[in-house]
Amino acid sequence: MKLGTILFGLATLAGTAAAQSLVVAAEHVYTAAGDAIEGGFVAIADGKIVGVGPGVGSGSVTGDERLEVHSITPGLIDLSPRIDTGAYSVEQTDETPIDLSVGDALDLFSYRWGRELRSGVTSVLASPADLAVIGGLSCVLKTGGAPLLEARLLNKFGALRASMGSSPSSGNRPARGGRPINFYTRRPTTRMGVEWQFRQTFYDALAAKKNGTRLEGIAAKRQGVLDRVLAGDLPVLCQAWPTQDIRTACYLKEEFGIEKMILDGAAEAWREPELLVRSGCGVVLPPYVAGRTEEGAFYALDTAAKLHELGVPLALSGHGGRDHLDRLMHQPGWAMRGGLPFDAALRAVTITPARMVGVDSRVGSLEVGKDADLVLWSGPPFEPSSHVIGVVLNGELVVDPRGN
Amino acid sequence: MKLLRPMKPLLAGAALALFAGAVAADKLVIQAGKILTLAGEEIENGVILIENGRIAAIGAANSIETPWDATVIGGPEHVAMPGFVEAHSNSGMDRTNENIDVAPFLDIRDSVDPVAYYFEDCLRWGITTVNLQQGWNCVVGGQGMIVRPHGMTVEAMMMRPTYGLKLSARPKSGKSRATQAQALRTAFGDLRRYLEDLVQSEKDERGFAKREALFQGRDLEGEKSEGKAMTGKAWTVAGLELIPRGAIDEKQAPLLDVVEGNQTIYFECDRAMDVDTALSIARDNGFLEKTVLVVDADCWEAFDAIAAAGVPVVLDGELVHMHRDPLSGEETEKFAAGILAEKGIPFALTSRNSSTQSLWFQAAKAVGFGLDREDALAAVTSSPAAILGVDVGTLETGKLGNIVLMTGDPLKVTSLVDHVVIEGAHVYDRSKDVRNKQLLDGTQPSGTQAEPTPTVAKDEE
Amino acid sequence: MAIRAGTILTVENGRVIENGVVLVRDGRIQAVGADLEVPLGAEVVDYGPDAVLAPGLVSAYSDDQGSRSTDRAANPMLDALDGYDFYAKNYALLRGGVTSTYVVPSNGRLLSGLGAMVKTFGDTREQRIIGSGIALHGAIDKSARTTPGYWMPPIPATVDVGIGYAVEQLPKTTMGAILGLRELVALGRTGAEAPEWGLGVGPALARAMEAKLPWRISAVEEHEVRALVDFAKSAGVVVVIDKAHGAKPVAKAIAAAGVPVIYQVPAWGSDHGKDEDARWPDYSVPAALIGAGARVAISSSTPTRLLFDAQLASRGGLSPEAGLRAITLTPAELLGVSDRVGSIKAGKDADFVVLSAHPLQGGTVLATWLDGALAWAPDYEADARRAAAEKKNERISQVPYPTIVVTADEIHVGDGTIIAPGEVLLRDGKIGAVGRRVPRPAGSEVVHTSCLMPGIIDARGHLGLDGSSKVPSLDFDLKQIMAPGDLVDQRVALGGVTTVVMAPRGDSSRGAPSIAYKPAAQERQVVRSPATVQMQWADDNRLNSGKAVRSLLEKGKSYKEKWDEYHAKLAKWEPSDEEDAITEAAAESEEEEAAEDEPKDDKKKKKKKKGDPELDPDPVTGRWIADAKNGDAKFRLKLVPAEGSGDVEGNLRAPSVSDELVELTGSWNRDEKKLLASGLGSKGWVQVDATLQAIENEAKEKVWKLVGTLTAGSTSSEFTADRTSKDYPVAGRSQGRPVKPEVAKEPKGKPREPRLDPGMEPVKDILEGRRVLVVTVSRGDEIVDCVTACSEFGVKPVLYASSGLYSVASRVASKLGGVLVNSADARTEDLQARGVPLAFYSGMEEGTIDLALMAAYSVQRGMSPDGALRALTSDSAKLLKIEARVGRIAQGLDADVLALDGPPLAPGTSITRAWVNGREIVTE
Repeated sequence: MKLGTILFGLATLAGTAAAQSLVVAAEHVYTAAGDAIEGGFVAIADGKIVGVGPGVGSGSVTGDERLEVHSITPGLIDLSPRIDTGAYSVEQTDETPIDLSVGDALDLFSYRWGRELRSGVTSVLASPADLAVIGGLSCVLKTGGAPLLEARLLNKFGALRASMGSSPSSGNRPARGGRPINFYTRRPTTRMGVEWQFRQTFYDALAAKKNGTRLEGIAAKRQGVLDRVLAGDLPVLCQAWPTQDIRTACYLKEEFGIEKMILDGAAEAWREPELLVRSGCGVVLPPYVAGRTEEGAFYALDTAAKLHELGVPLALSGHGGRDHLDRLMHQPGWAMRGGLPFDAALRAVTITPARMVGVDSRVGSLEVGKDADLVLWSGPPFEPSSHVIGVVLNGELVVDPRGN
Repeated sequence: MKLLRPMKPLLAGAALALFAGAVAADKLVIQAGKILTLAGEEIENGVILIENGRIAAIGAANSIETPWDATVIGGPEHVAMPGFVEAHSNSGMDRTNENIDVAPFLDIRDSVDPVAYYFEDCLRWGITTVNLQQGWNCVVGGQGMIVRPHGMTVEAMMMRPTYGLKLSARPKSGKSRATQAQALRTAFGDLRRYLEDLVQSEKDERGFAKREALFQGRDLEGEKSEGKAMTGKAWTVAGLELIPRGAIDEKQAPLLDVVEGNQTIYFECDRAMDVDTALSIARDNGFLEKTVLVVDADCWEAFDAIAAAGVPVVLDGELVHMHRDPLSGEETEKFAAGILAEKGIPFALTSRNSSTQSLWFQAAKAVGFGLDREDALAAVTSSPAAILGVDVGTLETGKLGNIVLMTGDPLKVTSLVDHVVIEGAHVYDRSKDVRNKQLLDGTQPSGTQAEPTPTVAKDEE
Repeated sequence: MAIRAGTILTVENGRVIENGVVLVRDGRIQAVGADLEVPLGAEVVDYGPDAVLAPGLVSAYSDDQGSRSTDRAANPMLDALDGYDFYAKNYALLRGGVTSTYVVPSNGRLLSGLGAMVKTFGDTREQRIIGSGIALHGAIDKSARTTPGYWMPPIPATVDVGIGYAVEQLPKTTMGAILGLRELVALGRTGAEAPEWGLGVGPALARAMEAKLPWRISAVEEHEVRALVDFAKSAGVVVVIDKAHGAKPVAKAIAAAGVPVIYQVPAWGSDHGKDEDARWPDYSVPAALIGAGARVAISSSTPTRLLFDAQLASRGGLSPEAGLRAITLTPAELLGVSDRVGSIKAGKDADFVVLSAHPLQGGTVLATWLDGALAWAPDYEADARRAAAEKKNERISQVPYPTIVVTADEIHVGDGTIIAPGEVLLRDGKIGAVGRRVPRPAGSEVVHTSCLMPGIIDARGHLGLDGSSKVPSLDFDLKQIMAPGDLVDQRVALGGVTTVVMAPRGDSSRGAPSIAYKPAAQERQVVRSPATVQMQWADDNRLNSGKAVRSLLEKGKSYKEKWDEYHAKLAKWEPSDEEDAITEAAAESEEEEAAEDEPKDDKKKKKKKKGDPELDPDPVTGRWIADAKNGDAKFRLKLVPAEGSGDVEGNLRAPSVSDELVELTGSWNRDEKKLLASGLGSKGWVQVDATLQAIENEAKEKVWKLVGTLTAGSTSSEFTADRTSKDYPVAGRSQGRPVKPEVAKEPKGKPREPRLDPGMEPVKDILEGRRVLVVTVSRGDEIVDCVTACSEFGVKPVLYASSGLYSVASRVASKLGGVLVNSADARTEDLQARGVPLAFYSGMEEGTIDLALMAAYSVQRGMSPDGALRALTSDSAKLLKIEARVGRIAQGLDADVLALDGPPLAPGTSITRAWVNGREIVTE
């Protein structure tokens, strides 16, 4: 083992075509689809998984390169990575820039993607910041590959980003200080204002849909997006930390019959789990902190466990923390400390989030035909004493466990 | 202020009340399905007998017979291990820094808050010994102390008062690295000049110091009344024996102790170059042997120099140094603790004043990055104990009875601390820890006020 | 080991060795000479006959020190070494050939501390230290006479902790400073403690004077230098004058007093102030001093630029030898480390810099050696670039150094060609003729110069804005704020810049104009207005990035189409007979309101018979819906062709093809009645192609239907789409109300001109490639977006402030109109190599005078000299589409030419005369 230096060969990020074939064998293969395989392998060719099963999988692909590690999980998926979506990634002059897509705002040359990638996160849902009531479209993309949106994009329409509570109303001034913007352009200055803005938007949408009003240009575009939401094509990713916000979000969902809603950062979801069950919202939990989060929500350690028992769709997130503690790879550990079973914890960072944003056909589990996104672990996954020693993205060994 | 003798366990008993039912029994027996002594091999299904605060016997259950009058805690479901040792911490006090550049006359005991949430948290995470020192924003800081994270008064907590003095090579706000280094040297230069003047005035039979001391009503009786010749490895001032120690200015006395090698120094280093500054100043004033470097992972480039100087290190910060290449923009990580282990430098990890990154987590993470399990565990128990010079950190007969009972392997994410024993006193019981229950499932305990302050590691970029 | 090179400049009493070799053993120089036999087993490095080996440069200044000082005016105990980061990797310095550097303890105090000398490379502290406490570092200039902003702590815990007050000791005037120095010298003599100066100062000074340390005192203004010289004469300590910007008039006195000087090349590339008494940098000070016989070392305020700045400072006739000595041996001597560094001599440290030519004649650093080890060398790619650069250097360096001759030895036409020797005829403001010999009309004045080049173009400057930061809209004519050349403009022109593209500070989302004009000219100032349209790609909110640019081009496009169509019609139109025409005109007018974009013939028929699909004026617009209910291939297709633009939008819901709604986009071909659209579904690409067919429905009447196929991967299925709604285009939606036809005046039926929109004209030009779009875009990903977006409109944008360009150059090079660069931009030469036209810009007002320096600096960093020249003149003009007026010395162009006393872009060359529009520029 190489002590001291952990150098990550991210050179492949430059995006060379992944044509080589590879077989990774492990003591434990956690597929996130059915039971774990003890002593199994994953075979990869041309960026896709071509074989998963017990044994060593020799000869499953021709001219293969072989690797052996302690355990394998699917590439982790983070629905709230907060990468590169600073205050300037969200429209500030409008509370509901619904038709804007964050895809246009991402800097794919940023080193932050590499940081996520080497700690095992292979796909993320990038969202606009939480400073507008409805901030625009979030898109699902890989954290590596050629630095072109089309090359990394998994789903341009991952979710429609909304936020409850104080953050959208707090900012009736430019995101980075400066002179306050005229408040006619930044209406809501209170929670109720935010709620009203959201309600108004969807009310108009429903009305327009009902009366078949023909809309022009942007209005039409926005209506298009909202139609998809109302039709259940597009989930709403709604930030709601404390109970107050969670309630509001759930009520709005029921009021407008929004089919799919995902609560982002719902640290206080433990307070009224029944409400969540009834509303049918999915939940994305923030990285664990003891006690109060910076948004003032109290984060109980067993939140994840509670939600799991009640069958609430559950995903964990890392918020792109610089500190290892905050990275997604450690979040399932904390959830397990709070009583969440391992399998559930695994699903909460792989297949469940994939389903939530409609990319489960390509990523989220180790199944033949899916993208070859793997995380290779030095020990039992999610234990702090284990580390991500290797990452395979689109069949390419972007972090090599052999340390080169 | 008069010094208190380190108190006796019994005395502690009186002070223990933070958790109901905490009793300092003369005899305490701890049973555990597994005992990690961290000294030699593990003991399956073992027993530890503690008498008067110290471990009287330790071994397999059948080898030790339980005294009839002993309190018994634990059971086969538990894993027993020595209490974690926090090698360096700024927590549990109101403010960590004074505004004066050189303030060795300050004493941390005046700022420690016994009911600070931090100490309570320590027990929750199994920390039984804490070395409290002041913050880095100084040139010469105040004196620290070693405490048990338990007790109603500072005196009750004290394990070793006026232990450790903080020096900082990291520039105090408003200083450049050059001026910081100069200020450090000047501090000792001034001390020397002061002592020489003192001796001179004594020889001229003007005896200013004595008179001032009498005037201020300082103690010229007892041991401090007779002068002692100055000892010191690097430099000494001849004729100091003429001066009663009690007569030496309070502001200078602590530094004199340092130069005479009677005080341990905790030297803050922020960048590699600071290490060289710190070491040279320690050498020039002869307290290298008593120096502990408090370094950040960024200092990894200077670890060779540290190894050469043979001083121990407290890695107070992230375990890895993240470096972003200015040209390529690519980020690389260096596992500092790993390099320390490679170079054979004795080192301790700290919980970075954070409750989610407590010592068990740091140790576990270190293992994750490739450190051997033994080294990792040692880095949060025996090696800090060695650095502090307290006989805890392993479970052996004669050592202090600081023991943690966990629900499983200490490095496993699902293991929780069930019981904590400090010097034979059963000071923590999770079943009675209401606030832990709140952290777990949110139930607000009646009568508690503030919840823990958030410990969110913010992203620097 | 042995190092060979064509030329070895030992600097030891100017000795130069041709084809020599240096023998190195354990980091020290063993021997140097022409015919030494290399010991067996010695490793030999040969840099070839062209390479020049010089001693490693000695920088007498360091800028990496924190300016924070102590609260004391005199602090001779402060050790610079304490502040030096021995772990730092100084690649920038090594690249600049600097192997040893003086370390400043801190600045801004009368006596701020003890300086040190270190190597710029080495593993351990010990290896790097050359000398500690080698000089007392101080200043009597302004910096030392302003109150130190140190923060005073509150009353501390114990009241008798003393806090020093700097203010009392702090000199406010030059005489105060000198007085202070005298006191300190006196104090040093006694070595006594002086509380007013602070504890330890006296003894420390005594130690320093014991060791005979030089007092390195910085003085900037002339009077400060004078005062310091007087002080030096009487002080009885060794004084070295630092900075000495204003020393020229004092040269003789300095020489007489035998006071050495460390001249610091002032920072260039910034505005210098416009008021009469503003002192703009004078780089010829060292020449003057050395001429007067003083010892001068040259330092740079930016040590990484030392080599370049030394060449700059050799203006006014400083010989290369003297210049080289001033950055190697002399500083080493002055700072007392000449026993180890500063020259190539047996016994000294093996620190070398290897260059492509003489360091002070445009040599580029090929390698830097330190303590006998290779400390820096460029990568292979750089080697190639350097080889190219070297060839050019050869050609230029064959030219003898400045001497007055009868003809111009060289005429640098600007496009790379050189006429040597050559003549130019300037006639009535234009260039009448160029060639080896040109006619000499009677009475023509004959001027002799060494070298001639076209006036320099600043591709984006602010001279003339006079500080204004307003951003005008596109239809604003910048001529209105132009003023005839004043003194500043003339000085700028004499600095070489004759044409400036005056651009407003900042960009506007609606596009901002710029004007190309000649600041110094009195008449015929305007070259082109508007010259460019400048915009910013990135929006404060990244989501909106590019929207502005796209929409402007979009607007421009439709505006252009209007005109194209008008011209098309005009071509077709011939006056027809009266009565028919009248009705037509009438019909026309109403039609035009309705649909301007409809071809003429369509409408004629339409009047006859409505309802017939063939004659439907608008066969496409509206919604087309196709529903397929049958079994597995179940889908619902919606297509919305937009009128005019020919774009098609739509969407598709088809479980077999995609889990979610598929967004479709495509185009509609009016003539072939064909429609193509495609989109990305969750299960791959979907393509729709359909044709418009008139089909009889149940009611036996023909109606339009879209008949086509829907293809997804291998599967494909037929469909027929009905129109659910149609919308007739409303005339001039984008252009506001159309002008009413004046049937009376206009000949009957003549197509009417669309409204002329001054704000849109420039954009139209851009689309027609007749004007330039300058986009401010920095991030790599955005550059790619920007260029692709523009190329969709057939526009090749010119990029500005494109720091991220290097990472994506290969992807965009072919689609670029060019790039505006300055010396700060890295690796610009690569772009040029890819054939991307470059143009230098200053982004400053009168600071534009340093534009030539920027170019020269780029050459230093590996850009080919003639490439740099082109980027200053012809390429710049081409790129800005003003090449018909300026940028080259060619017949018919404006007579903007510069006379030089040496090859262009050699920092040592200065401009002797300048002509703008054929008139010589003369200040005062």
